[in-house]
Amino acid sequence: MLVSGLMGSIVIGALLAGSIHLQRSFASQKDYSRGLTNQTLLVDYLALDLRRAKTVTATGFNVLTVQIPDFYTGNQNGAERREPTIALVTRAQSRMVEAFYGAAYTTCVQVRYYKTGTNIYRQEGTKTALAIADTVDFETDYPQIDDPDNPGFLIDDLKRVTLSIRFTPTVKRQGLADTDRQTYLFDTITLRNLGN
Amino acid sequence: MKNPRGPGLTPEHSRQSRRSDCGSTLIIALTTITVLAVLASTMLAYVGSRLDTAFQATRWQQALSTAEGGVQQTIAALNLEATLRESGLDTAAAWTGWQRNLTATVGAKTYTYNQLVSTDADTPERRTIVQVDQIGDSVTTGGRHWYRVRSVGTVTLPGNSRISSDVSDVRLRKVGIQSDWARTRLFGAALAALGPRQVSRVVEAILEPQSPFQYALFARNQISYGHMTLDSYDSSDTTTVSRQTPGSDGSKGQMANIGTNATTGTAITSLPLGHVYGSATTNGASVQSWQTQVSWEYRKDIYVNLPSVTAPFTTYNQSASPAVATTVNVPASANSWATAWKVDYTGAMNPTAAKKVTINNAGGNYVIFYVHGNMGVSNGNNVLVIPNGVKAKFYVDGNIAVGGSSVSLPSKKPGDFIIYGLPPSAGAAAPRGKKAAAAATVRTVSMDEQIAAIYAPDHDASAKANNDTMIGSLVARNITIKANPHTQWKFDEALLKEGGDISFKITHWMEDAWFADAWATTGNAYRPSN
Repeated sequence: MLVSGLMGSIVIGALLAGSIHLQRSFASQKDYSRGLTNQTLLVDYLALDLRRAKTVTATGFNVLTVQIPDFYTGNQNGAERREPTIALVTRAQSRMVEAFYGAAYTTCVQVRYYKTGTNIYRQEGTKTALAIADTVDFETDYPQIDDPDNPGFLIDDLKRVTLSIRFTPTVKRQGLADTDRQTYLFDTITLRNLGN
Repeated sequence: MKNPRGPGLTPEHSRQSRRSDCGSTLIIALTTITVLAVLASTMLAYVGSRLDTAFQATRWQQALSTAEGGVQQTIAALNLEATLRESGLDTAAAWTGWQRNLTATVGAKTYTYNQLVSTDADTPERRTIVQVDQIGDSVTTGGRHWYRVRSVGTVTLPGNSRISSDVSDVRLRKVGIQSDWARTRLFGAALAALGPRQVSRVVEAILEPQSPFQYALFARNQISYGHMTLDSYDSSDTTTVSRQTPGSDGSKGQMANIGTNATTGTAITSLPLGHVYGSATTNGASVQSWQTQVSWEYRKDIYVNLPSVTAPFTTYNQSASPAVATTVNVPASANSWATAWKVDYTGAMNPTAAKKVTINNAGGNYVIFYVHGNMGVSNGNNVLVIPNGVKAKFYVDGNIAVGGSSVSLPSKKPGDFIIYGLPPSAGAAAPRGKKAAAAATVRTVSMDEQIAAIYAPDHDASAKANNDTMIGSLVARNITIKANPHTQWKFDEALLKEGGDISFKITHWMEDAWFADAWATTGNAYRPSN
């Protein structure tokens, strides 16, 4: 009886421990999976807006502001698209025929990405800010790089923005530093409307 | 007698004990199986949902590539159409594989669109529909054709008919389980379905026509020059009259771009005292030590389409011989490039004082010469006369040499004196067992203090100007300019509207992807508004 009770306790203990580890493993896998999904989702959101941006301003960690063409006439579901305008645009030292949407060549709609709490929001113009991802951080790099062929000559040759999306799993092993368990996702986006 | 079931155990005891053990094992087993089944099904549902989301994300990316492909196919078709038009050939061939001018009515609107169906048997699940509209009024565009291209790329989705459990994923990708928002929005329900499940993305690009003279200097390969400053003016600027003539460095305009299509090495070399009041571009190659020389931007990702020049016509209005002086009276009917007076010059054009080439304005303004040989206009003063109000194009099947005082061009507009250089014809195919014909040699362009716009992308060009001014645009295979001690190259911005459309570039790019306010709170489905 004693032996069988002892054996039973061991078996039940092992089952409990295994169950806890399985639960923990499952939770960490789920957490990790969600983190990766959020990384991908945030990259896709940012890439979509960067690709159509006319200007980009990265004002620090977790903040990005882009100006996109004023493409829609309304603010509701299924907003109507504007017809483009082709007009002569006069600048300081040039007069060029340009294409644009909205009232003038400089008319744009601001899209801002920022983080509040654990959520990252996307706000377009004065619309309601929409939470698009959580548990991730992002940075942007819009480089003015040295031309490797001409050291000291700053070039902006490819009109690209590099995104870095960081995910830190919430489930962690004791003693493991945050930096050792973070996952980074990088993406480089060509800004299609710059330099045209 | 010894009890065979053991001491103290009656048959009744034994039956009861066995029945009790069997029941508890079964219950434990069933409970365990049920718990495991619930766990497994939960996990499978979660993993399955994530898998579908991952597939949908992948296909969503493919839909963008498919839509972009539609824009690129349109550009290719328009480029080919422009080349065929310049060559006087049937432009319909440019649109082979397209179903053109289909219509669909959505609400009160009727759309015209073209359908480009994938011809790749390996990718039947992708489709592109393109709507191409000519935009812009002819006054603003100078009669050039701008286009808006709306391209819808659609890709079918694998997996189950379920959307992601993540609302921001749904809001972004707008996958179509029952209908396709993008195609319905553009073309109506009739064209909406490609498969039971699909995802679409819509790209809207505006295409700007490209003149052969977008740059002050452009070479396929290399450009080399000495002390020279490049800037611009605009002879067609009626708003600011002072810009109609060249001025001091950079004072009238800063659009004198310089560039090459070179991909490696150093593509543009110059002495350090000059300045480019414009931009410098290459297709990957570098320039030589230009820290302070370029006013605007220096880019290394620009490729410029430079189609070779083809013969301008096969039938003509007048034949001219190099043996005698030539007089061309341009009639009133020649009031556009489409109705230009066509002159077939049967040999090399080397006008002299005794054999001048004189163009008269007899009511008309446009004349095209097809020169079957070299063109050398550098022997004597005013031996080629292009009067005010006349615009002349010369297609030269040979070398080109022009000198400043040999050409009478009182308008001083390079757009009135345009020269195209045809490439050398390829060596004849070798008969069986015979040696192949020698490869054609590279033709040349030589300029000396000249006002002209020259497009000869298969010629090697050299120019010379000592402490003087050259006006116009030069496009060649390689360009070498001897310019000392302070030469100026003045690019006329009016050339941007000259020379026909040789290609198109994307000047504005937009993805039609909107995010509605209502989604955050009500979860309304996306729907077309028109």
